[in-house]
Amino acid sequence: MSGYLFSRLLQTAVTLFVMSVLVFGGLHMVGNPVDVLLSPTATPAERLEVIKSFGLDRPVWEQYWIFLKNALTGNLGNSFVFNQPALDLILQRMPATLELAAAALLMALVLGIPLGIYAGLKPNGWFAKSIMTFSILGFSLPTFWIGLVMIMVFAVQLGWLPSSGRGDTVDVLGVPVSIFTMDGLAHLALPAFNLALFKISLVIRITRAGVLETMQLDFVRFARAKGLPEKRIVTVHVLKNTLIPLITVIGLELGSLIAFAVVTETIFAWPGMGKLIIDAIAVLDRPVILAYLMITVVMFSLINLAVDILYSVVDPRVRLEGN
Amino acid sequence: MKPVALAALLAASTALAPAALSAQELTIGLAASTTSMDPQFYVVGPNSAMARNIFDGLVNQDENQQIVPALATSWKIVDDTTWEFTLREGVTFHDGSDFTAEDVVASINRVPKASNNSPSSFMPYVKAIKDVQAVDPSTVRITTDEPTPLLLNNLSRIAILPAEAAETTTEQMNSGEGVIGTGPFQFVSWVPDSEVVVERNDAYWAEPAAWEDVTFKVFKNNSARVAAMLSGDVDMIESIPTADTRRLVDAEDVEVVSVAGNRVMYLHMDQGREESPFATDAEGKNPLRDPRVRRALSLSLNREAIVDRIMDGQGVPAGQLVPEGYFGYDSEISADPYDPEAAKELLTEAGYPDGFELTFHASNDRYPNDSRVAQAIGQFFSRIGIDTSVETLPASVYFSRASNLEFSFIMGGAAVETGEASGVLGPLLETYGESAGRGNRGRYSNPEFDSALSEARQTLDEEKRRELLEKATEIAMTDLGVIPVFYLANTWALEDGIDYPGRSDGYTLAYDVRPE
Repeated sequence: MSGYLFSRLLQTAVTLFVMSVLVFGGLHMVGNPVDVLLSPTATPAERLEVIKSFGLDRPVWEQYWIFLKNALTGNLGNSFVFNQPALDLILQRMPATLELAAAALLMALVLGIPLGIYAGLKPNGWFAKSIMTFSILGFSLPTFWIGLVMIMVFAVQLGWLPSSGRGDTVDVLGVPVSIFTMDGLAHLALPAFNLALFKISLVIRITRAGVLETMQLDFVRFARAKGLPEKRIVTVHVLKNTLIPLITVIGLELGSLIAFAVVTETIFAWPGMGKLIIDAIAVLDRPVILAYLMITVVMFSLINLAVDILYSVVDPRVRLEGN
Repeated sequence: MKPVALAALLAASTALAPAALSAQELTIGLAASTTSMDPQFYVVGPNSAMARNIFDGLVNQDENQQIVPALATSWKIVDDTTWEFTLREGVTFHDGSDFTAEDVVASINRVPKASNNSPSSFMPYVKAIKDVQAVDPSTVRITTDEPTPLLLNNLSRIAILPAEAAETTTEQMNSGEGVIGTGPFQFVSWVPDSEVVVERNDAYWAEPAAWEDVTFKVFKNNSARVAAMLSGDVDMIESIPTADTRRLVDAEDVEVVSVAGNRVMYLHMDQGREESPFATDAEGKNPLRDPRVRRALSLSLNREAIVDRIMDGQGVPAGQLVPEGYFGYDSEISADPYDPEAAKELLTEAGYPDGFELTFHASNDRYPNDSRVAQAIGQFFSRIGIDTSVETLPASVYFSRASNLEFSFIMGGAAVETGEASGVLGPLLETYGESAGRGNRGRYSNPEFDSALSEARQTLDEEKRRELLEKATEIAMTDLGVIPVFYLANTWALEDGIDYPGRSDGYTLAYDVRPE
């Protein structure tokens, strides 16, 4: 187990390094942030001064070397625009994004699994067919468009839910959380559902396929022959076998939920990390972009690790080995 | 979440639906977020606008960017380089301390410290100041290196903080510590990228604001901002996307305010190089150096149509770089008429009867509708026989490359931050050098223009200075060093029952929002 963990850690470190080199080089080629940030009334001399103060006058490899040295001590640099440590900026906004992603994931599972099981058990019923039609819509309509439609319907026309922003928060262990206030939940509902829609459809389809397949297998017939009630067959035997592909997909999707929250966050003015990175890219705020991507890599690695460990719990045939 | 629970939640939230304009509470939807609570850290529109709600300068800019007394009630010019300001009596800071001359001295001296690591610092506004002295508690004397007619304009950008704040760092202010001014509102809280909350300063030196609590929320996405307005989540929004103007005008209970803005959209042409990468005639030379060609390009533009069709009326055709009513506006110069025939004749006269090849570069995410405006302009050029292709790029890529002179023909937008003509003539048209013309990406250069402008910069006499600025404008517009296209309008949407006069600098100041 420890060998396994060590090799995963090493993988993560290598990924981080490669990613940082690519991003550093890429941003260097895109342009000079000073041209975007500096007031056009400033003189060329003042421009040079700013370039110097950001260290952009040094050769790019030297800039990278300085970044690397600082990064190893946990300092990912100060944002050009905020003049605050980039890492702090991101960590401040992370709870909002994680909350949104978690709420969306929860919706995907709570709605997706039961609907998927039903569609798998009675594939020819009219309700099952409606579920499948819904899932096609969920797949194919673009998130930002659905988000805008939802705002127009629920916030503007019906006036049931607020159109944007995060509601009242309460501090839980020093982290502001909005799911414990009514106002917070009302603000969370639309963006979370918007973000969840695609995942709900995905979960429905995977669950349905798994159920359909598993129901044909011999052990289900044996269980029936043994006289087990249908309910137990479905909830214990069939579901457990359906879970394995589901865990793989959900693990991957959790990462993409956090990454794709960008679109939803922009439409619903949700104060998460996604909005920060979009702004940072627009003004080439390199420290923030780098820090954000590094955190994303770490997060993906952790999620993948968790998925692997979950496999071994659900399916004892899977063993964790280092290589 | 089960459907039943969801329905319950929906029902419950109806009760929470935003109350319509409750007394003395105002929620404003902004288009851009404040990146720092330190009013002296970063010169950028959203920060300066927010600072104006909380801080005052010695003088302020009114809604047309003209100078009005603020913390100084009057001033006199002692000699060419010495100014004396009489301060307002009985003003207190939000922390209750008295405002005195020492605070002014400390605030001006804080600028260099606050500009440490700033992407665009306030130093340009104080660099002419040699010394600031408190003569007595209500008199400040400022000495400058040389005659500085723009001193007042510059001082209007410098927020006055209490003297104790001299040592307060930008980080401390960002954490909410020491955000203390004399303005109509005092700071309550700031969630970066999300919202700023302020409350009324009852001891304000002028009439107190109409609002007890004001919340500024940030909606960068245009549709989200409009939706927030339509759903009643906010009482007013700034910068209406042009496509939604009609819809908001038609909406019940919503009023739209549109005023001429201080940002001119202009075209910049490479005039410095014999051979230019994206503008070539048959011999491979740069045709844009010929003033007749530039005039032809200007005549080919139907400015009215651009403003009407593409900007949905949110703009005013421009024939020079500052809008009417600004110091240095030359009333004799009007926008070129739409005259493609005359344009073709001029091209023929210049030796290009069959036009030439041109690639026109523009940003696509910096100004409202920038890429659509660029496409339209490209079509106008094609109609007079210039083989034009249009390429638009994200601002992050575009501006660096434009500064490196990688293009031949570009579009830009310049805001008149100082409220008078030299603030935009200088950066765009002055001969490029160490200390001038940073925005002169076309490398226009005319010694006559330079001398008129630099003389204006040293002339304290208002009338003479106005004449010099008009002269400089006339020279530049005869040469067409840049082609002005139109001024962007600034827009706001307001719920019924409140009023906002609008501002040419586009700032949204809660103090000026009044119940009807």
